[in-house]
This record gives sequence, C-alpha cells and structure tokens, in this order.
Amino acid sequence: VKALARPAVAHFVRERRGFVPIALWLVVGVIAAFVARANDGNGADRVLRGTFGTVVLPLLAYGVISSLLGRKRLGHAIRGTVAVGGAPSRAALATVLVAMAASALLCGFAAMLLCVLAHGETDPPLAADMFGSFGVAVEGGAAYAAFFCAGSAIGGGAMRGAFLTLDFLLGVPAGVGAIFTPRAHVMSLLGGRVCYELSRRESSFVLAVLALVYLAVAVRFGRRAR
Amino acid sequence: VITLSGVSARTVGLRGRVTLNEVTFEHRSGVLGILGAVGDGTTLVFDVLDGTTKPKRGRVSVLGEAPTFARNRLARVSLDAPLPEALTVEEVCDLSSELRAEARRPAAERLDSLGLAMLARRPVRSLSLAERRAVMLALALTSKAEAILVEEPLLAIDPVLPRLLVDALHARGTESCIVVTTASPRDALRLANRIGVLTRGTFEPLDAALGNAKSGPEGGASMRVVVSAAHGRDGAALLASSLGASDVVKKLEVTAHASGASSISITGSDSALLGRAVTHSIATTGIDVDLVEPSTLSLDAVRAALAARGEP
Repeated sequence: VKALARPAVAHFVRERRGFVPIALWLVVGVIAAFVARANDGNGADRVLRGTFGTVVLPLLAYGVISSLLGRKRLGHAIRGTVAVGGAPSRAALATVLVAMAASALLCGFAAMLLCVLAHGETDPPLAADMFGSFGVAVEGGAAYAAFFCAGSAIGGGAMRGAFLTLDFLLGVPAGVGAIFTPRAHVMSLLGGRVCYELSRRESSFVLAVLALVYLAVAVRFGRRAR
Repeated sequence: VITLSGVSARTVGLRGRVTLNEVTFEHRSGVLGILGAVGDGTTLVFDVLDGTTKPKRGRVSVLGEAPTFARNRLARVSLDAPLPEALTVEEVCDLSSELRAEARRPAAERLDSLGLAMLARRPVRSLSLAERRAVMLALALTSKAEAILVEEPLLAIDPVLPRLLVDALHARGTESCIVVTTASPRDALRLANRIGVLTRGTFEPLDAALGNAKSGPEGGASMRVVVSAAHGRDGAALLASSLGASDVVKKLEVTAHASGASSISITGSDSALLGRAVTHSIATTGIDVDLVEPSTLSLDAVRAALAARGEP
C-alpha cells in the first residue's frame, strides 16, 4: 500500500492548481474567525459551529478529493498505477487512505488555526479547545474524505457533487437521514445540536463507522480501473 | 499459458455494446495476434484476461490462475497508455519494479531497450501519447511479467520504433506469452506467430495460407515508405512527386508525423513494380528513408476470405 500511495501523494503535493480551492476555503475560515472574534466573547465556539463546521470543513475535504482525483472518477484516477502493476483494489484503497489522511490533517490544523484566531474571553481554555477541535476536525475530515471518495467511485464520478448536495440536504440534525451523512455528527461534536437523539459519544462512534463504510464503498466501486 | 474456454462477456463502450461470444483459444508462448477492431471485442478480451471484466460464461485461466490472481504476473499496454500523471518516467519505472517485486534497475537502462533513455527524467504529464505508449511498452518488455497484452502495438508510436519493437516482442515471445490485438493485418503479420480473427465477438483462428496472403483484395498491392525526419516535409514532398510521376503508382497519400518524419503510402497493381518505383525514386531524389514495407490484405478482405472458406 505504501508504494501504491506514492502516485496519489505526488499528485496531491505536485498539483498546485488543486491548492486554489483549499486556500480559498481556508481564507474564508480565517475571515470568519476574525469577524467572530470582533463581535463575540466566544468567537471560537461561534466560528467552529458556524462557518467552519457547515462550510469550510466539508469544502476543504471536497477540495482535497478534487486535488487528488481531478475531475476523474476514482477508478479512472488509479488506472496509471494499475497499468504499471498495482492491484486495482489496493490502488483504490491507497488512494482513499491518502485522501482521508490529507483531509483529516488539513481540517484538523484548520480547526486549530481558527480556534486560535477567534478565541474569545468566554470560550473554554485555549489549549483544551484547540486540541478538542483538532480531534473533531480530524475525524470529520477523514469521514468527509471517505464520503466524497465513495461519491467519486460511483457512476461516472459526477456523484461526488451529488454527495455534497446530499450532505447539505440530509444533514439536518433532527432528520433520520442525518445519521448517514457526516454533517450532523460533526456539528454535534463541535457543540451544536445533537444528531437525531444520538449522544456526542455515539455520534463520534457513528462518524468513525461511516468513514469505514464509505471507505469500503469507495474501494468496492473504485477498483474498476477503467 | 492463457486459456479462454467458451468465454462470453459483455460491456458497454463508448460506441455501444461490445460482446464476446463463446471465445475459445489457448496460447502458450510466442506472439498471438488477435485481428479485429475495438468494437469487435479486442479490448474486451484483454479486460477479461486481466480481470477487469468478469465473463458471463466460460472459463478463463491466465498462467494457471484466475485473472485477478495473475494480475501481478501480467503486463498490459492499452491504447490510451495510462501512467501515474504526477510522477516522472524514472519514478514510474521504480514504482513498476516495486509493485512487481522486481530488482530495481536504472530507468535509462530499461527505457533504452526501445531507444527511449532520453525520456527518463521527463514528467509523465509532458509526454505525448506516442511517448507514453513507448514508455509502457518498454516497461512491459523489460518487466518480469510472464504474460504481456498489447493493444495495437504499432499504432501511435514513433515511425522508427516499430523496427525495434517487432524484434523486442519476438525476442520476449520466446520466454513469455504475448497477445497483441490489432485492426491491421499487416501489423499482425509482422508481429505474430499465430493469428486469430475476432469478428463482432466471435473468434476464429486464421490459417497460415490466408494469414500470409500479401496481395490486396483486387490483386493489387500497396507499400508504405517512411521518410526520415532529417529531410522534413520538403523531402517527403520531393519523393512523393517523384513517385507520383511513375506510371505504376495509381494512388499516393502523404501523412506527416509529429516527430517530423512523413509516411508515403502508395498503391499500384503489382508489388514488384511498386518496389522498383520506390527504389528508383529514392536513388534519383537522394532522400533517406527509414522504412519501406509492403501492405497486406485489409481486415475486411481477411474476413471475406474467412467467410468464403466457411461456405460449402
């Protein structure tokens, strides 16, 4: 898997165009953090539950997947690796794992940054808040990456955008559908409304399960290297 | 050994549904040429052999295993030559060695088997389709793969490369099982020890007599002359005008390649007279040519001959 991950890592690191949307959403988050700090005593809480959780985190993860796969679907993106001797299912697994790791780290550090920038007087102690937000964003970023990879593996690859829309539509905390997409769980873990009567601990567990399920779906459908 | 026994499969390609109907063949070593177009199922045969597509019926065995298990022992060069876009050619060579559990060899050494050492440091993204295909062919031929599948080996490659490639494939065929697909009977004859024809999913072996037919369907003949890049298009035009002035040349077409070389295809009634005309033109114009080769039966003519053979 280590060798199979090399093309995906190289694609992510060397494709500079892919960084544009990522940088854009980070800037949006930073601006929101400054605005929240200026207007509220609990700016960090507000920006993490608001702009970061609802917009920046999912779109950062989406940006990572777009940077890794381009406009291709997962099966098409791994063709090069398969053509030089990689097993399709392992190549798909390696690519999704790289996407999950990159998205998790990026979202985690973005959460920490916004937490520091927006931290106000009535927010919890900075260190605890920062590392708590980092943990939630890492889990959320990984789950979102697996979710979008599953979307990229199904159909012609256009399902990635459909999955993003689905997340926005189904992610209403009160609805049953919210259980199956990352949004409501992430919002619950960031201190928002709980997701469909699930405690935060249960949401954290479900989010991890969702990440694994979507990882399996992505590998299952993405291994068709055509 | 590659064995297909009563294999039926189906896929939907860009140009509609493609099927295989109870395809049966066994290939042990050497080069097997499958003559047919993509719409006849040539790509689908390879998809079945490398496990990308599961057959609906029949049995497939590659090197004694099911295709998905033999994948690491098999190399495939497809028409669009996909390679990891973000890597350099050198890195692709190293990755290929690692994935196939082979000892790492310098990329330049592997690529030099087809005279491509100068591509080693180039990013894959900067390669033309012809260069990508050439790199994939070099990787396949220098790998330890026991079975090699190549789609249209002589298509979309540098005009000089075929000479090296044909020799390399024949040399490799002595120890490996190589299957090539092509829509060109001429390429199939140059490359393969055995030929089969795939017509709308139905496979039929071609007997040696029919496979070696060199004349055109109307008893005519054609030849291709590749003018070296050093002479450019002006040299090709000069040679073409000299050939065009000959009485034996009935039809003439000039094709320019991206590398600067040009191909001149000529058609006439007799291959010996055409050959004499080509020799005369080369001598009088002083233009260097890289290749002169005769054309053979068209694919349609081969199919018509096969159909006629089957009639009572």
